[in-house]
Amino acid sequence: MEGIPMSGDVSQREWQRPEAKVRKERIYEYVLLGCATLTVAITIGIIFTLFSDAVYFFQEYAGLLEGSTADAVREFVAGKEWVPTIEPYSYGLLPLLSGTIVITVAAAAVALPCGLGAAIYLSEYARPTTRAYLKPALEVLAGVPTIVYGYFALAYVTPFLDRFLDLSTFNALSASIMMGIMIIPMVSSISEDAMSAVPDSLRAAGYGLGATKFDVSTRVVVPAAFSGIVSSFILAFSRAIGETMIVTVAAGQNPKMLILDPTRLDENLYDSVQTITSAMVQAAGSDTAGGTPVFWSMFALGLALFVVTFVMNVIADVIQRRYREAY
Amino acid sequence: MGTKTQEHEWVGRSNALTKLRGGAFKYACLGTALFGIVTLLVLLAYVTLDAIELQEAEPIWFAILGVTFVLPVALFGWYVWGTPAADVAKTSVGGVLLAAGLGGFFIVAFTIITPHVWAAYVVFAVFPAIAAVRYGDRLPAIDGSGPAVMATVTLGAIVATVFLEPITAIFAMAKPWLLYLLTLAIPTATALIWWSRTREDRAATIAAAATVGGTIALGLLVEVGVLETGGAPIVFLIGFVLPATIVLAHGYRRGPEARAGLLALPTLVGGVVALVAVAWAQGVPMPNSWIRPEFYLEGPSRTPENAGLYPPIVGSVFMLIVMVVAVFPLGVGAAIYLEEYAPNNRLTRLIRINLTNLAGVPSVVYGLLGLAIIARHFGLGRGTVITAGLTVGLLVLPIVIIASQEAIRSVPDSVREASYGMGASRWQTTREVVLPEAFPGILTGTILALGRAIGETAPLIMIGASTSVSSAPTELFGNATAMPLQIFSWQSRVQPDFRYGVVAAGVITLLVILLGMNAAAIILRNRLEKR
Repeated sequence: MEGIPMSGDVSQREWQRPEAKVRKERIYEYVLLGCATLTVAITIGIIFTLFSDAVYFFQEYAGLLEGSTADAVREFVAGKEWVPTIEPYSYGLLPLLSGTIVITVAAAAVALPCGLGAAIYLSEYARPTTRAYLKPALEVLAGVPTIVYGYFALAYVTPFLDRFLDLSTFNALSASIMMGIMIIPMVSSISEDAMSAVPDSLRAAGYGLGATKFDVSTRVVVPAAFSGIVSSFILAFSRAIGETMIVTVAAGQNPKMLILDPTRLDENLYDSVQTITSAMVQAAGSDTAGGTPVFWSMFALGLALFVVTFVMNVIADVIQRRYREAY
Repeated sequence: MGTKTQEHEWVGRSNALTKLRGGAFKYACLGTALFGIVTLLVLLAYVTLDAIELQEAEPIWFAILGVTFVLPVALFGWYVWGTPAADVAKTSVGGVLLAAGLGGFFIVAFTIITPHVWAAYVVFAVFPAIAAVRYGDRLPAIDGSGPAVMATVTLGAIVATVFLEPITAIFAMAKPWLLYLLTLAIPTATALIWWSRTREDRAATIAAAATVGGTIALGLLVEVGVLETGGAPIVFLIGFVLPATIVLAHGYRRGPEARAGLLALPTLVGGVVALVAVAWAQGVPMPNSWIRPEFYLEGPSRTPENAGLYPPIVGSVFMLIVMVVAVFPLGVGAAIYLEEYAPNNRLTRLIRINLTNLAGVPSVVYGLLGLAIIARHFGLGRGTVITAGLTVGLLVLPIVIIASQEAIRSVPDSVREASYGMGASRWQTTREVVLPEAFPGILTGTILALGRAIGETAPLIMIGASTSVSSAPTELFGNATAMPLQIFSWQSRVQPDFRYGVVAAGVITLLVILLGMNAAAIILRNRLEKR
């Protein structure tokens, strides 16, 4: 409006934007590009920090072990003892990793069936009105702060389960149950998206062959949406591995190796364990000054955690994309 | 029918068995879907009971509760059930409760930002920018005052920050209530009237008048000496009265039949007042609830009776302010770039892939990022409010971006094309057409992301925030504390009064705040999108 002159001298140039205006548009574009590029900078920052400080930790640890850095890395990855604060120090990842595995597998045992069942119900059985209430209600489960879940596990679930099982105050079982409930919506929403994407023609074909709703759900829809379901499972695992407060509050701080005896597998759950994440929280709390190996061990643990969750997220993404049945 | 099933034997041997199996499967699925929700509800019921110690109340108290509160509310509910009044009752009660929450937020926010600091920034950054906008609009030669406004805001903010001490010293000569009137009440009211100018909405005018009038009234009360300080009541009034008046006025305008719904609020309040009065008159003690006013006015303490949540609440609000200032513009900017500008090249693909990956990075790892980069390299200090706010801000940045992207994407292309067709440039289209349309969605997404941020604990521990901060932070480089951090610190104590009393009250508070934020986000989206 402003560019139109009052008199009638509409020259050729009126139809092009003035240079100053173009320049101004450029500035806006670069500012916005800067905002977007910052997200890449965050990732670079994370990777740089984790690597450089983890390397520093390995050098320090090598000094403690009186060996080379490679020895320190080997000790860290394959070591069976985690004694971060009392001499002789020992920084072995395996006890923490086994604690993480115990908790994650148990949480998955809750979340995968519940999430998958919820997804099937939402996608195949639920009426629109039921769906309108059930879906947001499920999402609420992921919105509750994790510290609250941790408190529930410690203060209510453990005393309740203690009536039936021989549990210690801090135990893996109640932490896993709460974590499982937390990741249900992760499984259910992604699986349900995959199931809803299965075209109705496949269902109709199933019904046309005389199949029941049960048959269609389990033998047509679930197999057709399989890649999405597997991908949701992996993402849920990844989320459980990275979850911190529930395990810190309710699962205790006892780094111990997994019991691999097949007859005593359940005992892994009754006692206190320590995961990678809760060891990080403990390290952050135990050294407020900074500068001891405990402090730097956080970054090595963070690196391990980042690598594991990153790889799982990528695998989930690849499965979802590559193995998707295209219709 | 019977013969038909026999003819089609190949369908299945036994229909009864198939039916049973199908039904069992359906209800098993429903059961698994409900398992998590029901477990959470049971736990919430337990923690609520523990927080208000309802199980220790005397039977006579329950009788009084029934007669003074439950019965009138139930009768009222039965009376309006199924009429338009029920809808008005719901919206008016919900809206006024949310408005009260906003008022509370304002009180806390303005204990951190003193009236003088607030006035300094408004006078030096906001007023000149508004002037620039108005002046720019009047000049035909100037094409959009965008850069000028940005420059004015930045320059004004820098001036205000550098000369904060002399400026606040000058403003300290004025009464706080006068500063609030001039820099908060009148600008808010003006903005509201200007915004509602095209909407033929008298409610906004009434609300604006109520705000300004109420502020002046409170100020006069301070002058007369009835009130000691006018600050907290005034900011509460501004946060509370504006939205509450709008909600009530909308309820009133729904017509005479629906108007009865407005009585819901007096019924509820009257019920509570009657309950307290009758219980007091009869000498029946109220249940010894852990959720009580002192809980929100005191600091953490060694004894459960004196423990309070005041510093963590201030800390959480302070962190929220840091996050909104730092993350909201960045997130919206990135979303605009990705949706409106980004060419389909490698960089864009990298940014997109990176965004989904960032959303999956565990929160403790963000804590390490904050510790190493923000606290150490940038030198903002371990465990300070600004480090905490920026760290958690980076954590929720991907959520803000993804939500904003969705909001921007939902603006139909036809309006963009119409705008381009009239000769608008890309930025003009974005600013004048896309952003106003997408704003409700962006706002909703941001509030939801901030709700997520309020509940985060792990990053705060990782950046070295102390779990035993006993005073509220007053400056950006003060020691950070937050509600979940305090809950974490309390729950490690073994005394039952802490574990099942104080912590329960803290958990309920945190959950109610989260619920309020989520409800506000959803209501805002529904209301604004309807227009």
